[in-house]
Amino acid sequence: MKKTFARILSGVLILILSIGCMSACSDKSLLDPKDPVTLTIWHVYGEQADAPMNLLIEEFNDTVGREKGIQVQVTNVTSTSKILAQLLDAQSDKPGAPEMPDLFSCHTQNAASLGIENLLDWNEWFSDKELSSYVPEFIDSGVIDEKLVVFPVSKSTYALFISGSQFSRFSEDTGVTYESLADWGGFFDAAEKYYEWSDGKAFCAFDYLIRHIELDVLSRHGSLEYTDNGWYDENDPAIKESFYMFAEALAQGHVVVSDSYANTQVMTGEVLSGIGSSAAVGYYNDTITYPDNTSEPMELRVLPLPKSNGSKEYMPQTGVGLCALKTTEQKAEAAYEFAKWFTEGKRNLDFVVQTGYMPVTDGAFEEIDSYSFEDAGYESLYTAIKAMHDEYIPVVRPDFEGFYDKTNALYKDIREMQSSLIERAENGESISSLTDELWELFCSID
Amino acid sequence: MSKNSALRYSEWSLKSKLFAYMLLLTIILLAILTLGLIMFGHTNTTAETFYDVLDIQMEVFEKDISVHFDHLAASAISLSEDLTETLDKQLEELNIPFSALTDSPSGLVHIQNAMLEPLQHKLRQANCSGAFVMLNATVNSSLPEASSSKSGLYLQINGYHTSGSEVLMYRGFAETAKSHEITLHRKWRLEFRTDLFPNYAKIASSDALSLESAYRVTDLFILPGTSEKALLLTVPMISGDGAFYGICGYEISESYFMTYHAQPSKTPHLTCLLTSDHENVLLTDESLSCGSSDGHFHSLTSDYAILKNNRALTHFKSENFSYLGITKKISLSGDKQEHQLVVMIPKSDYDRTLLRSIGQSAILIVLLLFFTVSFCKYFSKRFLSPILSVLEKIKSDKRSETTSNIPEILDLIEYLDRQEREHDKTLSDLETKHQAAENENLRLQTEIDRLAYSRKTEIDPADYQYFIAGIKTLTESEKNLFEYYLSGKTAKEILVLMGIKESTLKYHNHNLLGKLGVSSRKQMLRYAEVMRNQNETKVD
Repeated sequence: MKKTFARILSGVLILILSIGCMSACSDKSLLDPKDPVTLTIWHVYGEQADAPMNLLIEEFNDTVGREKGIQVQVTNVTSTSKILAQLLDAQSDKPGAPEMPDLFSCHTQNAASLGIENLLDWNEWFSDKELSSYVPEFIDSGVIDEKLVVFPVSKSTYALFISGSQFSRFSEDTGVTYESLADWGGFFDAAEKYYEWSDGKAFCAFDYLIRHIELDVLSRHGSLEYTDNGWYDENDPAIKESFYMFAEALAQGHVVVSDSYANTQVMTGEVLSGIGSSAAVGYYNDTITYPDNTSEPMELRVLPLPKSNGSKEYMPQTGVGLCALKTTEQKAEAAYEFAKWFTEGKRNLDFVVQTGYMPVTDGAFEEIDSYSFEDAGYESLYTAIKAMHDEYIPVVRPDFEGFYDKTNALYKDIREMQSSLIERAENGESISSLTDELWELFCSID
Repeated sequence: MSKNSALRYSEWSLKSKLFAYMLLLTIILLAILTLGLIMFGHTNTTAETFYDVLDIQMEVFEKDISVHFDHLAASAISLSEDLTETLDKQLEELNIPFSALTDSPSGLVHIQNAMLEPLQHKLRQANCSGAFVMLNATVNSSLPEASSSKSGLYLQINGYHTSGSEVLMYRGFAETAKSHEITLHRKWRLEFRTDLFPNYAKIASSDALSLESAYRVTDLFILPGTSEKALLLTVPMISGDGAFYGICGYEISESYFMTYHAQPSKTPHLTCLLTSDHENVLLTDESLSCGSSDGHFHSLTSDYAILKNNRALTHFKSENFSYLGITKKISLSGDKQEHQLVVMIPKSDYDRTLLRSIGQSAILIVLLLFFTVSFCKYFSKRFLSPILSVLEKIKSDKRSETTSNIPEILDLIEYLDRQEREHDKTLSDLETKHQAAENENLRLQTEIDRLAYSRKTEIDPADYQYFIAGIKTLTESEKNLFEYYLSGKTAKEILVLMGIKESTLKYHNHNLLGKLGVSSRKQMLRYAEVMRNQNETKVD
């Protein structure tokens, strides 16, 4: 009897130990729902508020995250223009800088600054079959040194954003229609008319003026010359021709380089429209408020970029991807699970249509036509995106070192001089001399 | 009967008794240890452990909130004084009364330009997500909703998570923003709306109070145009002559609260709330939440019923989720209006810990039981085996081979040897006596045998008389047979002489002996001899 009791006890102990060992050894995944791993993330989707990305992350945490043992925590929502500097500060442990996040939004051209060896190669986690569902160009744009370090979660392009309520009045008085803005010729004519109609207000604010000159050259001449220093070749007559087209409107105040983002000038009634990233749609206010505190609904209307009427039309392909800091295998697995979940067909489409981006899977792209939009402005944007997707060729922007510093310096200089240019033009100074001055400024950047 | 004896303690084996005593000792020691731990407070239930952890966390959180709002109130009072002074100075410069600012875009721009720097400076100094000054004036009083439209500045910090934070203008003149290189918020508006400003009427009516008691913490509200919750710490701006200039103060947004008040805690999924003071319900829309600085917490997505129970932890229950935690009231406003602080964890975490604790206790008890029983068995066996071995040898007459180092056993062996020697001597004496007794017995037996034999040869007179009388009853055949026997004939000779079968002879023998009252032919012949001797004596 006593021996039997001892045997039972021994059996129970062995069983307990065996169960413990089995539960510890049988699961190949490094993730544990009972002890979730936390991934911090910095992203650029909705800087000021209403970040749909944050809502999706909450959804992930409450569903797949909870089931698999992954919790994603947003520790910074910033902008594409600032995130690299913030990441570099964090990476170098700059005093006051927060800790480097596990996941972050990053441009491919910026990823190298952080050290490719410090970043997760998504190819090690995604199978070829899984990757085949993504738009190949988007995958390719994230590869550096044969490593997929920037995973595509969304892509953006540029579009023309118009205050519909103001344009209606303008259109009624002048006969200019949205169709008039289909090409740059019509666009600049409309800009001139608007300047006169509005007693000196600019028709449009450009966020990235140089890119439109670049695409115009490509469209009309098929190629573009760059210098060894990573700037445009001033000896290329095609560049000068396109530059002058934009510069003349600029010099007369028909268009302006935006203060930083065109949406702020549209919501104050300072300009009628803006050309910038499709992702700016989330930043367009629903109301225009004038300095006398009167206001009106904006009724945002988004149009494709005006065409150059060249042999081909081009559209910019921009947008950050998702990078993961290489730390532990457990975090790598968690990052893979999150990236996979985040870019799944319908979910990816739901996300991009809230943020003004293009989806990254072929399946999601095909569903845009049948998507039911709640906001007319967003619907208008995706009509424009679809039109450009069908008629334009996407072009990745230049990735020369220091290119963006140069363009930003140029925009800053133009911003500073554009009000005086208008004043000088009104005072009778010839437009050609003013555009020459702008050209010299452009050439001085190299 | 045997079962009863097995249960009877007095009949237990030594080994069982020792095992039982050791087990009892272990149980008593463990009981004393447990009692001691309970008495000195070293044993906590899972609920008590969680309560202790959350209670400490509550102290930290309360201190955190209290210090934050205290500093913010001090800073807001200072902001009110600075902006009032700036306003007075600018009005003096413009040479207009405050009331003339209404419908004066240039005057308001002038005032805002002058106020923007000090406001921005205070914004960056204070721990908050926004700073504002709302003047009791509007740029256009002819508009239909002019009475609820107020001019002013509202600046917000964008990207306060990082060192390179940027200031955005949420309310104010765009040209003021542009001249100070400040970006407009995407939901920018020129003026404030008092109908969207939380608790405006109450705050505006506190202008008669001193600034030290006039600061207020507003209800939580959604920042117009966005989905972000925030609360404001407000202080009225009062001129030297008591005129109400407006309200200034700071904003604490939900995301700022979450970042700034993230608790330095290792408690997983910790959720801390600053919420309105309701007895039975926790309203998500009226709560700011934060978690721990290195862990994720679930943002509240629905309202929770507060279920107080007898135990220290309070249960917060919604349709899909439950928390356990503790609450504490806190006063943050100058009017002592109370808010509630909540520190809580998901109930699932608590349940998991409780289950783990029970599991661990069960395993510990099983292990303790197993090792106690095993060791008691081992030690009792170890202790008793030399004694039992000696006893076995004593039983098997091998005591001489017994060796032991145990003094008590050596004494026992010596005692038994002595006893054996005495026993042998007694036995020897008894054997001698026994031999003598046996000899006497033998002699007596011989005498008895002799006497018995002597008794057998004697003739009983009564039997003899029965014999004499029997002769007369004999049949002819029986008389012939009697005579033959007396003449010494053998059975075979008689068979021939009488011409009868052996069975007939046996029949006659039986009748003959029966009638004469003798048991054997030998006794019959002896009685016949006596009879003949008597007859001869008579003849003589």
